[in-house]
Amino acid sequence: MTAPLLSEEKRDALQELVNVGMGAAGAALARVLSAFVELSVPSVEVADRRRLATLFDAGAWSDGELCAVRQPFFGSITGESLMLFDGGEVARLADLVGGAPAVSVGQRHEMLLDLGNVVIGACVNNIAEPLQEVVSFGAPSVVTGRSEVCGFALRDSGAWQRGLLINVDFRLEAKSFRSRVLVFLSEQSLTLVGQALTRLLAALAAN
Amino acid sequence: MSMRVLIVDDSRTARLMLRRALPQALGREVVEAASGSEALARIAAEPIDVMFLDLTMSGLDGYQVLKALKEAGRLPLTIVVSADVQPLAQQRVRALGAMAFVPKNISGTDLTSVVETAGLL
Repeated sequence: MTAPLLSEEKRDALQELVNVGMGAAGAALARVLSAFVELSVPSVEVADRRRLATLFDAGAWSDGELCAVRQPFFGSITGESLMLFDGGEVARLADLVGGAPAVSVGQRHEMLLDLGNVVIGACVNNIAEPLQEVVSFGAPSVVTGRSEVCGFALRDSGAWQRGLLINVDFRLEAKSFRSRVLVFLSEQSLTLVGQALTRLLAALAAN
Repeated sequence: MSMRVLIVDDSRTARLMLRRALPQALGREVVEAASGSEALARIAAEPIDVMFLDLTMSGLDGYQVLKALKEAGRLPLTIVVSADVQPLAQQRVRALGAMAFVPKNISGTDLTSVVETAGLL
């Protein structure tokens, strides 16, 4: 059994960083959608492949279809992020944004890319914030279909074995949407983040 | 004048950050609550002059805390410190009786001006 990568103190610190990032993302979404966005407290955990696999268990998502926005990033930390959406909710989200039910697949994907870009950017930038170096982002893309999304999330990559799993619920115009954001970090990046959190907590504890 | 300050946030890190951000001149007695219901219990049991309140908390959130205290006539001078920076959130908490709204900032929340405006310094 591997030792937990993050102590509870560090996990709490990381969660607070993500919380602040999500707040900014929520405000950005509210501007785009001209609606009030209610956000839950995002929960953050370090998840290995087995834990990640449970995300795709039957019943974990209301709809058979699954959609994701994936976006790579590099710089002070290197990795790839995946924002997961329920396929059924994607249509509802698109309807809300478009203001009409008949939205083309292309338009839906465009909406997902915008949404993913904002949320992933907010999460990753704030995870990297204590490192005080810039993160660059590659172009986001949409992955559709349960097996494709699952295959991507669980693929055997030499670069990373574990990911940060961020659960966030948001409500838009009295409709709830659930999303999962996975941030895969290289082991070296995870170490750097852990060290930065140690410094952050030490600075907070010092008088 | 001795003032008692209550910091309400479900994140330990956020409470630490806020404690550090409190202006030195406000060097008073600071107590903490890790949830909305803990905040209500504290305020019912002991005098609190100033409350720094987080909005997004599981269980009772900041809005519910404000509402309950306002209804009970027990609302201390309240400064909301929140990651949710939507204008509507700011309007809502003011309508519920909060006197100021400060956005959370991970590189150091600036409380000096808000504390001065509130007449606490």
